[in-house]
Amino acid sequence: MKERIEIVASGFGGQGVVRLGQIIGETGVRQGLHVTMLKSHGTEMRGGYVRSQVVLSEEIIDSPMCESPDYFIALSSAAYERFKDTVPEGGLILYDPAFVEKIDEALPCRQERFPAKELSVEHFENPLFANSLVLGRVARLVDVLDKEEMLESLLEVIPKFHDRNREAFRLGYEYGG
Amino acid sequence: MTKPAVLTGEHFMTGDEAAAEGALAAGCRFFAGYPITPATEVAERIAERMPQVGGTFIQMEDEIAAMAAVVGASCAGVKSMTATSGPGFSLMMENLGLAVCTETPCVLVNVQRAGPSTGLPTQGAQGDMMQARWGSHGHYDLIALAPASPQECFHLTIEAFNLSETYRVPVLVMTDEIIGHLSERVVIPPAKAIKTVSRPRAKGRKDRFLPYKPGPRGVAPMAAAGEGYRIHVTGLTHDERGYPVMTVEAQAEMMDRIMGKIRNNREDIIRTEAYRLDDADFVLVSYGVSARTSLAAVDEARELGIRAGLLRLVTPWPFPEEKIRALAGRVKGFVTVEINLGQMHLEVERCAGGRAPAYLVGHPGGTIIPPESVVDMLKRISGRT
Repeated sequence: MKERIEIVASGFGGQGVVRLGQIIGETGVRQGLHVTMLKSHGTEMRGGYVRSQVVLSEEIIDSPMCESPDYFIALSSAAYERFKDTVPEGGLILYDPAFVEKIDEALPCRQERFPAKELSVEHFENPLFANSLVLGRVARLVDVLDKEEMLESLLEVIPKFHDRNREAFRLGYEYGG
Repeated sequence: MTKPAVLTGEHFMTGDEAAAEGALAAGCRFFAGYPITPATEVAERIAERMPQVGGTFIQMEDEIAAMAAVVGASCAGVKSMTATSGPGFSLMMENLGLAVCTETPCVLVNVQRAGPSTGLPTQGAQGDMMQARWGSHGHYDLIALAPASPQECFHLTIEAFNLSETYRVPVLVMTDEIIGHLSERVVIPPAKAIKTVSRPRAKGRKDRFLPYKPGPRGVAPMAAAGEGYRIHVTGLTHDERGYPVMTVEAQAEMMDRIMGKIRNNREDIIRTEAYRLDDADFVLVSYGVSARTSLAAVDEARELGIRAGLLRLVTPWPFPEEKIRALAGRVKGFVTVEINLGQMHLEVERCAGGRAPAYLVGHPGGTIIPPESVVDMLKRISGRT
């Protein structure tokens, strides 16, 4: 694997951005990797900006900051605008069109539209499972992350609705064939 | 629900949570605090865990009261702790001084954020290092530890309790928002593999006990309130009986004891870590999160042919004066790396004593210092630009 893989997730407070980072981080730990997950947030209780920065490596990680993320999960327009330019060529932005409406076509990286909220409502009549869909998608896109370990981490961190979370994870993983 | 105090196993937890678990593993059974970003998670974890281990958590009306409660609980014989950040740390200063003067063991975790005042509440800094040393009025010595990872937040909080109990002195765990909010693998060893220390206890006749008569290492045995020993605890200058004595001589004697416990045991207390220091021309001096990025800078500089090394301050206080003095005679320069505008840098400069130049890579706060900033400085001072 690459020396360090950087994954950033960002959106607004209450969306589960920290949980998302925590589950990705737990997966790395289960796989025996070195992992850092740094959560940062604004001063508001709800609605402010939130970011999780995950670094995965086989070596000891010095800086937990993601200066040029390999993967950026954008869950709000503000987050997209704030971090889109940090993603280098060869990097990938995964965005939910329910939150990120305007896309910058001039970016050098790949960008994948993933309608997690819409799929969650469609399958479960509830937007609550969007992040499990995202995690399934991330397990598919990030080679180093093991699908089964990721699902186990998800079920451990989120103790409720195991059946629907498992199904959402599968839908995300298999999205787009 | 009863759960073990030591959660043996492998965890993915934040520095704040790890500090809380370290406290419980060290035998801390009383926590008083007031919520403040980015230290709230310490209190949150302890609030959940204390009832599981038969301890007490109390949210006080403010940080002044929180520190007072911690000193009081410790006087009653319970290992006690609080956790706070910037503004709360300022409010705790008066009662921190009371703990120093009454020689009451306790641990204060400061998850530093950028100041002054309310500053950047959710962003990290290392700007309270001199406040840690000199923040309460009068002259005194205490101990401060600076963890550089969640794993160290666990171990060094245990160490903080052990040092605090050994020397009857408040011990500060000076972490920061970045380490506090950073999740990493934390391995908690089996309970029997964790060394814990308790304060020297009072012995002998209860009516003739002298609560401030120094024992081994200059530390007086301590009686818990309610045990039956006749004790008097005051922030006024006091004699061996603990009674106020308003004389120059009593002041000198008390100060000698308070300072001497630390000064005469520096070798036992001070902890540093060296990385590629043996043949180093340039020595980075750093601690906490900044030591992580300094470590990367050492390797990068070495690849450019600059012989750099790192001296990590595990205990910024007491400051390892002897180490800096010894290095000053043979190195070409020191570079202190810290998220403030030059605090421990002043100590490095003082101890280098003009025998080697002292430089600073500092930052006013809000983010970490990237390794590149340190490498740029090393390039400049080694003449490689």
